[in-house]
Amino acid sequence: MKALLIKDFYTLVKQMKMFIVLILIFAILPGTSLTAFAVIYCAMLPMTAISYDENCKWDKLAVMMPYSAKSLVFEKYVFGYALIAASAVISLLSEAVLSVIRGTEFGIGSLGMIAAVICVALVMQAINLPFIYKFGVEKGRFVYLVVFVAAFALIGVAGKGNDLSGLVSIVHWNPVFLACALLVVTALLNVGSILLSERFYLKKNRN
Amino acid sequence: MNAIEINGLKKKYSDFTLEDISFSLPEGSILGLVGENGAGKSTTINLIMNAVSRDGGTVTVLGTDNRSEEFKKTKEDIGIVLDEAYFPPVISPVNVNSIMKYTYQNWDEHKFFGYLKKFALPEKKKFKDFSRGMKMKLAIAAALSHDPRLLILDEATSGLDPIIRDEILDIFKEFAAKENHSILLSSHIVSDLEKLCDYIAFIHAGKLVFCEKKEVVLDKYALSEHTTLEDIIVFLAKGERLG
Repeated sequence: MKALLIKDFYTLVKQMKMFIVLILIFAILPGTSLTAFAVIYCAMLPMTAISYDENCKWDKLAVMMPYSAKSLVFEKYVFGYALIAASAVISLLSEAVLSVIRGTEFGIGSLGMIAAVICVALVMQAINLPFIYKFGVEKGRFVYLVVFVAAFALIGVAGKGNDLSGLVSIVHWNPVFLACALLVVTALLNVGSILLSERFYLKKNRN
Repeated sequence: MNAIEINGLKKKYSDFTLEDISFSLPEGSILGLVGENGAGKSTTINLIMNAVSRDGGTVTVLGTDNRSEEFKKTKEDIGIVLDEAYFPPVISPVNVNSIMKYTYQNWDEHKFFGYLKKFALPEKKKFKDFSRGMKMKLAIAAALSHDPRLLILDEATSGLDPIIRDEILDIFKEFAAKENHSILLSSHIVSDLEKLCDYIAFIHAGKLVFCEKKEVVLDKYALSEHTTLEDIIVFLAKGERLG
């Protein structure tokens, strides 16, 4: 696992120096939307790492070495988790430093917002990776986009003429309950996603 | 003991079938797997390494069933070189060392850097800027630096010029000279196999035509003392094609 993480780190750092600098700048700059962009963008980087693997046919060699299929798949998730965590920590630190400079309070609001963004990033990664393992990076990216657009379109159609106030009222739920629910859903989605990705990987590479 | 033992190996694809392959590689020997492009050599190697699932038969490598949990540990003792090196293009040999030392428990970085020196490979140059010969030498350096007992080489010399090929064959000879070291070498360059191998297995259209000692093959099929292994393989392949 450590070997695979190191390989992906080298590959990504050397291929995407400029992008990584941008992510760092977005994570440091004040403003929730930029922070959100930095964290969510990190959730897409495992897909980029898989794309590099596909291009150099690394998997052909990797299956011959003492890596299990499970570790080859799980490592991409761990890589994503590490990047999301790193960008979130940088964002939090910059928020904390800025609040000291401004003399404002570094409140629970900032923490909550970043936690919510982390959950969104984790959910996006969990939805994205099985598509990539099933269809490959090019097709997988397209199918993922179609599913996202279709989901939003469906919500839009469902919302037309229907009362969605019930859905909106979720925002007013107990914040602790809401946070716990979000965590459980994110964790469950990730476990399901890993199992599904392993299955797709084995089906694609072992037959 | 046999380094590799294969019995009744089968694999079916929609457009190709590998049928009932059986052969063994005695420990301390070099076996050349020969056949045309698409004959089933790489499929056989993938099945030996359990990189693809088989439809029938058994495979034992260094005494371990390749479907067992222990096979992951056995892979520590197998050095692999494929037809390309397949390292990410942006990494350097120094990075390869960092990756491999966490991949193989027996990884010996002194040995690896020794090979880099011996093969005149620059330590910090990006892999994408290497020539094909340099890439293959790096793959060989990586395969030899975790103290393997078995080398599996899938078309490792194809596409290389004769001088580099000769250098690489010398490296393999040096490896095989050590006690209990075995090599399975697949190639369609029969002259390489003739120089190096103790045993020849000839695969044609997914079927094993023969697996015998090189001298036996030459004795059995040679028409004159000038007949080469290549002549025999070409003759047999044409015969098989004509039925």
